[in-house]
Amino acid sequence: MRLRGYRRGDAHLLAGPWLPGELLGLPMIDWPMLAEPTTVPAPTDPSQELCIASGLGFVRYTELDWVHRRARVEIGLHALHSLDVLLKTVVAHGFLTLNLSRLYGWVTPVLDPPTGLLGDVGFQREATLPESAWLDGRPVDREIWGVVRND
Amino acid sequence: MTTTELPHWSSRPYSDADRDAVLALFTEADFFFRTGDPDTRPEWEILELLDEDTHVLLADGEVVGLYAVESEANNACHYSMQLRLRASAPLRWWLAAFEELVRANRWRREVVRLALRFDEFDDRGLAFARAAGLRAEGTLAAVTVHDGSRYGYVSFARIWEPIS
Repeated sequence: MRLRGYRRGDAHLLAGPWLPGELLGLPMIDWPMLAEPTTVPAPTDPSQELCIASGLGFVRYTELDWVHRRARVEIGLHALHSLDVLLKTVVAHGFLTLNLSRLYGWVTPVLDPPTGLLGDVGFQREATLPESAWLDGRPVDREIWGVVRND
Repeated sequence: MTTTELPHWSSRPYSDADRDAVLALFTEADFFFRTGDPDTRPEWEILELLDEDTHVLLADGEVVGLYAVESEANNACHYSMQLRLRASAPLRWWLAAFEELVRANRWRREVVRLALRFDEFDDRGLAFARAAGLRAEGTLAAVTVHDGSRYGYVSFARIWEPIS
């Protein structure tokens, strides 16, 4: 798998039923029908690297720090297959193509995310942020998961 | 078509009418026109690579590449060229298009030095530069990172005797 560059025809992939900022944003089936979908901005400047995983969704490297070579990663998916291959690709793209040395993102335990898949590609849980997001009428904890390039 | 089976070349300055054809060129992972990572670049960034010097190159009326010729020094007849053909274009197309571009650029002005440079990972660009008999001027090392490794770029030039 290889990520490809964003085209204006991909705009529909940038909105969906994910918690904003989630490292591995999977569609939430209980998203209220009248709640606004989460939307990320289309890439228009160097402040983010947003790529498309064909047939799956977007991968966004944001809060880019080219000096310290790190970025926060957000993924928003419309389809759920090939997650393991996608995550491998996301890490390889960040380390090899973008030449970053640290990738991190937010994981929300209450959503029961597949953290085993994150661990398989090197992500580790680094911190817990108590009550740092609002979801379904209450505050929920979030975690920071990160992976560091060791080569 | 002649026995050499070379296409009829034409070109025009890049404009919005060529946008889809040009974006399609950048879906090729080795379409290294002003970028080392063409296929992962978003649309806005590709459009920023195309300036007023950028021309689309057409073979028999079909867009097959891009080129740009820029002045490097006002009074020294020194120019630089960026040239890229899509992956399906054979080496002899590169060579033929380059010679036509050289002829066109020297038609109404003196050119003493025409400089081109290619990244060390750019096999097709380097093969073209060597096959065209360009003067290899050396490598500036460790300029860029591509696919997890560090590379430099190789400078090439063709030089003509100045008239005075």
